[in-house]
Parts: sequence; structure tokens; C-alpha cells
Amino acid sequence: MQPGVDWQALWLTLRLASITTAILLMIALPLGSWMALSRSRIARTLEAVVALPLVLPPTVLGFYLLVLLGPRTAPGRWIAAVLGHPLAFSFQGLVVGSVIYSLPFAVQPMTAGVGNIDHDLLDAAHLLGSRGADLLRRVLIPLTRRSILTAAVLSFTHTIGEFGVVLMLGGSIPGRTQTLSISIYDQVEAFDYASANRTSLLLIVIALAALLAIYWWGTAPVRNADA
Amino acid sequence: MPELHVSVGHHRGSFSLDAAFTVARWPALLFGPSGAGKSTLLRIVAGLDRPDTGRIALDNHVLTDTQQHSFHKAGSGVVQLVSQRSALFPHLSVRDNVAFGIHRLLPEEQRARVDEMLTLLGAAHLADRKIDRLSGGERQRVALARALAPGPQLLLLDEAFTGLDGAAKQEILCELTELLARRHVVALHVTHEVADAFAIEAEVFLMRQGRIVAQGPAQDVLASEREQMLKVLG
Repeated sequence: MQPGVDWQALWLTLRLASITTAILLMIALPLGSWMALSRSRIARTLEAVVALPLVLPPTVLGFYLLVLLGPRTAPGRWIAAVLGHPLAFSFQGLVVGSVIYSLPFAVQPMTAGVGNIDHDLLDAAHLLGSRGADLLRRVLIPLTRRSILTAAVLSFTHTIGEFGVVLMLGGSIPGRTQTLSISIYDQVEAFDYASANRTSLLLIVIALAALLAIYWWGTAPVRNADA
Repeated sequence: MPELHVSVGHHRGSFSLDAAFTVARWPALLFGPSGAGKSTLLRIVAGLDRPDTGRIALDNHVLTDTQQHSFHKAGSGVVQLVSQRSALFPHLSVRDNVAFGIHRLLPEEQRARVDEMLTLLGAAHLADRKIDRLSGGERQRVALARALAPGPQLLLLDEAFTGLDGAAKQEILCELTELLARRHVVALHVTHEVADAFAIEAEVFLMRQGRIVAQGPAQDVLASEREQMLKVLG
């Protein structure tokens, strides 16, 4: 057997990570901003719920998602009726699982970024009539570009390295749910260490490149007149 | 010039604000030591915080009335506040900062208003500069232009000129006095610097421990304050 990289799994992994990152940014920008600016107990509670994937074993999350999205529950049956197939063991199911599992990696940098904005700037924006989506677009996003980059890179790399949730929710169906990390597991189980080595090295290169983006561009000095 | 009527109560922990006063002319200075509650009061008048009780009105226009559960919300355009730190948006140019609160106007109207404000404040030459290329005085001029652009009826200045040298401060204050009178804008300037009160012959509201304890011309109010301090010191 010729050792090699599982290109199909690589393509699927990159697609999954890109879609997950795009969805997470759309959620994290308003959610993280609101959590940073709100003083309510609901915001603090939500912060704890969002952070759950950091402390739970991925198998726990994967198990409940599998049950929830499977044919035994009403939401699972409804989704299956709408999509024409169950979400479990499908690429769409992986996207849902990845979004939930990587949520803290996107939301927390945004919460920190918005929390660090000078409150005088936010007061000035409020006094000048900017709130909600307008505040997000004209003030929060431009002033938290580094946090957005960090959120995007962490979401992307975390999704690429995901294993437990993917395995529980998607199994290992080549071309549909088999990601690179699952492919490495399968290669090792088949004693194909040479292929596992090449695939692992590829994962390391992708992760390192993404992290370098944070450290090179994310920490470049920026002018902040009021800081 | 409209009159500003304020009568509010606000209690947080051990701090109690219970202030009532009327501003009928500019220059009007809210004067008092650090921790007297001046900035808290200004935030309430600006609509950034809510009072527990009371009423705030500009002539007959009621901004806040807690009995009616009606609260003025910052951003209505009626009230603007300029603080010591200017709070200019660092990612925008001077022009875009001044245009920030009038972005719903047509582009040509917006441009004309920005040019007018910057000219009035002697900052027309700064229009295309970045914020980090401005001096302290220039920043305050731009912050004032930004606050005046939406056409507020009430302008609040929170230690807005602290840190500027005497000549720059005097120049801005003189220009501002003329500008506010011309545009019929009522203004209240918070400061803890005695020199400010005398420099512009202001009507002074002396605030201590959350209350307005004296009101009148600077020389009267601050002289009696000085006498009281001397008595305390023996």
C-alpha cells in the first residue's frame, strides 16, 4: 500500500472549517459584543453556557447532539423531513456540531475585544445615535479587527483538529463525514503509520500557518489615539 | 437661549446624588472637588445613566421625568457631551469623526455641515488628518465640532479643557461662548479648576457630596467657599 495523504478528507475538513468559521463569526460578532456590553445576569449565564464546550468531553456534546438530531426526537424528525435526510451522519450535521463545539473559541475573543474598547468611545457613539447593528458596523467591528482575526483563526484551527464530536455525530463516512483527524485515526488503526505521519504533518502545517497569521498580523502595532 | 432645569436623585451604595438647579446663561460652571458627583450628574443629564427620581427639562421640553417613567436616552441628538479625553474614534479621520452623528443626512449636506463646524471651531485645516496626528487642543476642537454637528440644544463639557495650556483653553472658551450664543445652545461646563471659573466670569454651581450647595457669580460663590475652608482649617 502506497503511503499518502487522504485528499478527500483534507478537502472535506477545509470545507467544514471554512463554513463553520463563517457561521461562527456571524454569531460571535453580535453575541460576543452583547455579552461584553450587557450587565445583565442573562449575559453572564449565557457566557457560562457558551464556555461549556471548553470543559465538557467532546463525546458528551457529540452524544447529546446525536440524540437530538437523530430520528428519535421531534427536532431530529422535523429536520429530517425538511432536509430529506437526518442530520446525524451527514456533512450538515458536522457543521452544526462544529459550530456548537467551537462557539467559545469565536465568542470569547470577541467578548474580550469589545470589553477592552474605551468606554468613552462607546458613550460617544451612543450620544451620537449609534446603537445595535449600526454600532457594531461603525465602531465595534473596526475597533476589534484583531479579535475578529483571532476568533476566525481559532475557530478554523479548532474545527480542523476536532475529533470526538465529529466521530460521535458523523461516524467516519469517506467523502461525507470523514475529516483529516478521523482519517489519521483510521490509518493508525490499519497500522498505516506512514500515511498517518504525512496526514499529521499536514495538519501541523495548516495549524501553524493559521496561528502565525495571529502572531504576525494580529499583534502588529496599531494606532489608537485614545488608548 | 433655553433654560436647563435639573432636579434629580440618584443613589448607589454609600453615594447619594440629590441635585436641583437651573442653568439660564452661559458660561455656566458646575464646580466642585473630585468625588462630588459632577460627572455622575452630567451622565444622567446626557441620558447615559438613569436617575432614581427627578425631572430634567429644557424649557418646556421634558427630557426625563421619573414619575411619568419617561427617560431621556442618549443619542436623541438633543444633548451632547464632550469629555476630557475627547473620545475621538481612532479608526476614522477628523472629517469622518465630525460626520459620525449626521450620517443619515445626504452626502452633500453632511459635507457642508462638517465643513461649517470645523470652520467655526478653527479646525478646517485638520479635516483630512488622522486622529493620532492631532495635538490636545486640536482634539478638543474636533470633539466640539463633532458634538455640535447634530445641532444639540444642550452641550455638556466634562473637564473638556483640562490639560490644555492656559492660552489654548482661554481661546477655545472665548470662541465657544460666541458660538453657543449664536446657535442658541445651552451649555454646562464641569470643572474642578478654580481658574476656569474666574477666567470666563461664569455663573458657578458649587457641588459638594452630591448636592448643589451654592450658586452665583464665581467671585461670590468661590469666596464664600474659601472662607469656609479657612474656618475649617482654623
